[in-house]
Amino acid sequence: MKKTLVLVGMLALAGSTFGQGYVNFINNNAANNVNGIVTTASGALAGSAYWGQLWAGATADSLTAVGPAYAFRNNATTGAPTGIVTAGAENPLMIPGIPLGGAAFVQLRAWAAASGSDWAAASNNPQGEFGASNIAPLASTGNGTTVPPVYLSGLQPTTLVLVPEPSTWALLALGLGALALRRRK
Amino acid sequence: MRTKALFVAAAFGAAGIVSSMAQVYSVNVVGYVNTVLKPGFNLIANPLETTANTVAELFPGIDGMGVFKYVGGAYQIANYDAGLGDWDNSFTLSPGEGAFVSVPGSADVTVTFVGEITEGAKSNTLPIGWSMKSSMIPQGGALVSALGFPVADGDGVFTYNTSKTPPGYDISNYDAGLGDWDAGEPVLAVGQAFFLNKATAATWTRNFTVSGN
Repeated sequence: MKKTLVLVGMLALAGSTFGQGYVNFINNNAANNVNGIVTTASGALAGSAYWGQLWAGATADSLTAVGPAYAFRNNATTGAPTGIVTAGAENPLMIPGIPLGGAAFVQLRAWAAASGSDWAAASNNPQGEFGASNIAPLASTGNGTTVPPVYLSGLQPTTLVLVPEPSTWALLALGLGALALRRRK
Repeated sequence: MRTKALFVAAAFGAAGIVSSMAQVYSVNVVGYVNTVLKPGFNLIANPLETTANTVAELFPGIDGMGVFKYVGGAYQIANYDAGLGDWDNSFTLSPGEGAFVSVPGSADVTVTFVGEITEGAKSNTLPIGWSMKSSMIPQGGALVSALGFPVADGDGVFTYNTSKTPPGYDISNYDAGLGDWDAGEPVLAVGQAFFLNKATAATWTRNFTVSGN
């Protein structure tokens, strides 16, 4: 019994030494309730011209970037966009600030590579194409050893928003104005 | 984890004579596998059939060593205590299964598995969700293309890498949309186990014969 307690303590120590909560960053795994496929503003699946990044935190309003942004993947055989992004060989990702195996909130943020090199640049780009998924609560994360990294369960599909260009707004305003004038006549 | 295996090339025909009159033999191969365990956790398999495949039969009695076998969503744990002079729990670790082995201290420990590979068809049940698995025969290689693992959309293979600093998991996810593994096809060493997250239940079958498998 004593030895079991010691080993349980070792497990906790090992986990805290190894880091903190671990997740398996892939946005598509229906069996584990991960349904975070990303489509673009034009309705197509996101492909390799798009970036995706995991954001996570202890609360829903304290999310920070976890790891680098990864390019969305195309199908290995057909080359077609898939709307899927993963950390690939860098999985699992450790979420800073989350205690050993603790709960976390996660979100997928995605953007067109042409819109900016990172989320801040893309989301502040007046002509940017970007989007963020729902914020999914994870009841627990992996501890790095005996508890494997968890999936991003609860992640839902995301459609990127394309911020209309100013000229588009101007054309839209002109069109509406012309329509109004026509109706008056 | 490093592994060295040696199998007796000559068929060991003494065991399993079905009928001496008909001259039908069950021919098994015997040998040993050396598995080097690092301090801390190691996710390993028992690559050879022993008499009973019990923890006490497989592992050396080192004070503070622990074996953690994941079964049905929980761990079976056996600890060796020098004061007790024995393991505090008894369970089996058969080929095809896997377990964490916790090595105390700061020195590597070499475990020598001695046993046989029984001839014939073998099947390994892969349930939906989490399980610890390994190859049923002592063969290393790529999980699907060499070891015949029945991969399906959504499968996740989590190997434990003691070469990383700190040690931790390597993950590869198979997604039909991608048409591939996202981190490459997992490659297993002889005696290496892995955590499997299976999207759909399956059976991993192999057929071992002395002339080839």
